[in-house]
Amino acid sequence: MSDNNDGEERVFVRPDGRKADEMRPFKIRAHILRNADGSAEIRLGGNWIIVAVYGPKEHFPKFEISQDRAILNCRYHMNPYSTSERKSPKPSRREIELSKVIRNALEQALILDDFPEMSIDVFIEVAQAEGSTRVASITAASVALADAGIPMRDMVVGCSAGKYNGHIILDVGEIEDKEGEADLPIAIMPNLRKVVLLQMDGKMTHEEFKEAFDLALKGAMQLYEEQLAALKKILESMSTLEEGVKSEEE
Amino acid sequence: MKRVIALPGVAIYKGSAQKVDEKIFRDSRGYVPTIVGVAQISGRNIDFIPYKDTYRPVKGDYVIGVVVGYAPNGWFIDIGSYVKAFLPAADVLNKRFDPRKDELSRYLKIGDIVGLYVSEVRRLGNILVTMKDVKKAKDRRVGRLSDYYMIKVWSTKLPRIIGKKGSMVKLLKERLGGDIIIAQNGVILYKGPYEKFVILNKIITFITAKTFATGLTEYINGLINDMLGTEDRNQDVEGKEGS
Amino acid sequence: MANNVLKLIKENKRIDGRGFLDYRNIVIEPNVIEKPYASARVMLGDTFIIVGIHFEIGTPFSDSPDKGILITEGEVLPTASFGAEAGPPSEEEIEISRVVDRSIRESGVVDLSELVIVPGEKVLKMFIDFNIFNDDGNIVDAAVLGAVAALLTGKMPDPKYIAEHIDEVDKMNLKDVPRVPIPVRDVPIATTLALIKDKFIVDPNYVEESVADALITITHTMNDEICAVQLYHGGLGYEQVFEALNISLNKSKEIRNILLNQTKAELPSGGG
Repeated sequence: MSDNNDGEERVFVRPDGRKADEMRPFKIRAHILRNADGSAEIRLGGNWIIVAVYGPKEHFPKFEISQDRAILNCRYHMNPYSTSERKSPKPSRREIELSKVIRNALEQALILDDFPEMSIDVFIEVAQAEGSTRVASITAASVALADAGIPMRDMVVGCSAGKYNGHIILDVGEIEDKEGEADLPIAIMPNLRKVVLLQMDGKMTHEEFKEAFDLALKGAMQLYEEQLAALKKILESMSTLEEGVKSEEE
Repeated sequence: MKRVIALPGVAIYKGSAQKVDEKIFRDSRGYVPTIVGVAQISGRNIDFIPYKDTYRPVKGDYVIGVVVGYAPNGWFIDIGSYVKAFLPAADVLNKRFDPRKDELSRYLKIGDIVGLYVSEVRRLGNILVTMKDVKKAKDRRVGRLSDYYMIKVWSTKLPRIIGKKGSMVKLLKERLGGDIIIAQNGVILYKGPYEKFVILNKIITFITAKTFATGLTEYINGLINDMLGTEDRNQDVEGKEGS
Repeated sequence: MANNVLKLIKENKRIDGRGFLDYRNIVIEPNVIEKPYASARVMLGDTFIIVGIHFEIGTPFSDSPDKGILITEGEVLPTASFGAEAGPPSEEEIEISRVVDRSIRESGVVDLSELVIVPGEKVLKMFIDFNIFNDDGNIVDAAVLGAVAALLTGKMPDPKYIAEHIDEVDKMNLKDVPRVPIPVRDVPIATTLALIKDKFIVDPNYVEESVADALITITHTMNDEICAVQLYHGGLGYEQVFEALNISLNKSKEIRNILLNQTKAELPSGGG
């Protein structure tokens, strides 16, 4: 059942030694690919995911265009060396589902009617996977879209929670995903307080769901601060000429 | 005047403002930027310097583009915007274009650089451009421009390249000589010695990397000194005339 | 049509006269097709689905040698609607298949360890295939109903018999192996809700789905646990997530009774 903070946690150990409500170490950097209009990378535990955004651009073939808004294309793709057994480069059904789910989530935030007849491409490449790749991907994708200057109502940030050995945990790792009882990836627009990605896989009571959901929200807000820090870093690097020359930033 | 980092989704101003940049919208959270940049708030006006923005043409803009294709009755021009611009043949020939007698490539070939005005912007479909002087303006060069080096920047960087009252571009013209043309779609043309072009390219790259810095003009003057290998140039570069 | 939906929602009405929390008429017919081991047809309003279950003998996955294999796949047939096309699965079809699969797999409706013939070597592979002949919305709820109905009323080749005759397994015709009831341990029910102008409606039809601001499926086990959630598109406020869970739990109990009635099946022990 769910966790209580009364010493019962003593015997609960996660595979990597984390506490139940502890995230893995993470880092987000923006503007890391030269050619893309926008780009970002995220490291979350052993995950390493790189996202590139191209667009808005003219869309071909013309019969596919939407006359009142841009089309968003999103491809979630795992590289063959990203997992311990070789993953075929061909898109699997899982990758197709995740591409769709991530795209739908990002569409909630993007202001697509500014660009009728155009398309925006988001390419998510998982170079190394270690559990919770879809929420890490969407978190990096949002930063890449901001780096590309694509207008958004809010950032999108994701995090996972789950149930492992009867305990509710934050930020599901690979082993916990395989061996645990449930996996709850979510993504939110943090200022609008809306959930834009929500899936659950496994078994949970309503109470466990609530506990996991709240924990995932907390984790998402931590990653959100990191997203903002990554974008601020770019602005800061464009504001100082050299050490000693101050800028008027606030 | 307050400078504030603007990030998508984070409200930068509550209450009601008067003049607000179009990249900032208002909802229950307050005034919220939709793209990354730096906002300047004076009183109830919000100005905005975007970090990145593809050029969006406005009727009357002076632009420099590259001919990229032929249509049955005109040319497709890449002006660095989301869609290609279209230059009708009749506009250039000053008469009806007859495909039997006239050959488009005699007038403009693929790869030519042209100075143009934006004559019409449709929300859907092409942007129309023209060689006719839409504004009887200044020293804008329309038509084919030959023997220029081309540098392309985000159009949002132009204010820094031009500088307050044109101070930056005046500095560049004085120190580097040659001919510099700046167009509103972020294209800069330079006619002059190759060595000077290399320096100009480096300077422009630096300016675009340091968009939000202050004290840029003086710093650039110092940079040019270093690159030209000279020291005692006039450090006083207050721009007195417009450019 | 879409405008009508939006107008009526404001007045708390739906185009077919239903209440916000009413399902359409449900008709479940098990054993409609002779050839497979189990089958069912479900009519949910005008949405018409057929599910068939086949078995094969196979080798287990290397990381679960003591479990049989479950494969769930569905297709929207070109007959289903004007826009439906023949061809490789679209991303919607793939998503629907995977949501139905998770609803079935994660609920433990069939304990896959009961499909083992020789651990590590031979197991039963169970294929649950569903086809949508007419799409009037809410394919997922109908597909899960059909799959569970087929499982409740179907039979499978007896793994114990095969194990006892393991030397002849390569010459065996699986169809001739004596059959036992498929061991059903749970009765999961999927409930799909659409959010239109901040109001939830259950069992959306085709038009309601097309104008929905958000669409979500939640699957419950017979013990009120959640075993699958999928937000297909749109956004939900944080509180709306829990509103959806509550509505879905209540409806699942009601629909489960309908399923058990129409299949004349009993709730597996350990439930309720």
